[in-house]
Amino acid sequence: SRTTSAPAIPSAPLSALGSARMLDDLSSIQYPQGIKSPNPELNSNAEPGKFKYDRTFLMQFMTVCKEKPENLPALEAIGMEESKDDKKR
Amino acid sequence: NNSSAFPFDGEMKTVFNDPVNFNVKHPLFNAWTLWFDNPGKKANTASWSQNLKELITFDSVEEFWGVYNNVAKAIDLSPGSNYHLFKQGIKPMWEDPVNELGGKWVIQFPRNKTGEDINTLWLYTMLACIGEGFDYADEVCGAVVSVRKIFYRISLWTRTSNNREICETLGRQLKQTLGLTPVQQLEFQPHSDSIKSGNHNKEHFFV
Repeated sequence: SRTTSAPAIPSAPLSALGSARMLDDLSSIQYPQGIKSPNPELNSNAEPGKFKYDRTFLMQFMTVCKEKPENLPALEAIGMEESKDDKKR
Repeated sequence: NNSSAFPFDGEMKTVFNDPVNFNVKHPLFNAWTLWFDNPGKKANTASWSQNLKELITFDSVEEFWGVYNNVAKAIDLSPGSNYHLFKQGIKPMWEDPVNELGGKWVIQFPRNKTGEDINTLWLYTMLACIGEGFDYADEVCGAVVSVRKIFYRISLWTRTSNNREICETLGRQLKQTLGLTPVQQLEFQPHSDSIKSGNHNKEHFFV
């Protein structure tokens, strides 16, 4: 459930990527079944929000985080083509 | 317990719990900037820095993947292009004060034998950087993938070029990250070698 104070503006939804807050405590998170937590050894002495992540943990985001960040420039404008994978879809 | 600092009462939802309406993301230890350059027709040094484009700076795991999934894969870049992933505030050039005394581990992969594997090799290099997987992660400045006609090249840039322990540890871990065999020998290149030609009396490192 979302917070109730924000008025509904259908034309300009705030993306979760832009509005989500940074975790400051990894141990506060319960990942769904089948998702591996970050290797706790990497963060045994971590300051809040200063975390290290192993590759196995990071790779799990690959197929989930597809949203284009709003501040990523148009790639044609800088002489780069969009990912060909995306064109095929 | 710092989680009480969150200004909302609802449960914390990661992108795994709710890919559309997640409300927490995973901070990176450092913010990183992705740069891109494609020298194209102009090949002189002055135009190189003009061609160098800062694509985006990000500081969460979720944003990294949003970037990765929406830019060209290494294999799709035209020959002459480079991606540079550097810690925010460090320019991907040896003239930057943080790089000035540093150097790089460099590995070339022949294009015809590597193919799509270059995408994975570059991805693994970036993940080791943003996940701070290296011992001496503070000594890492950034990484580069270079696409050329007959080879790909991956470089790991370091702050130091005269500390053997630091340089060799980073080199060994890069080899491990890329799944290279122990017999593939890599040589460390101090940036000062690239700047001045002629006599180099610096000690060279290998892994």
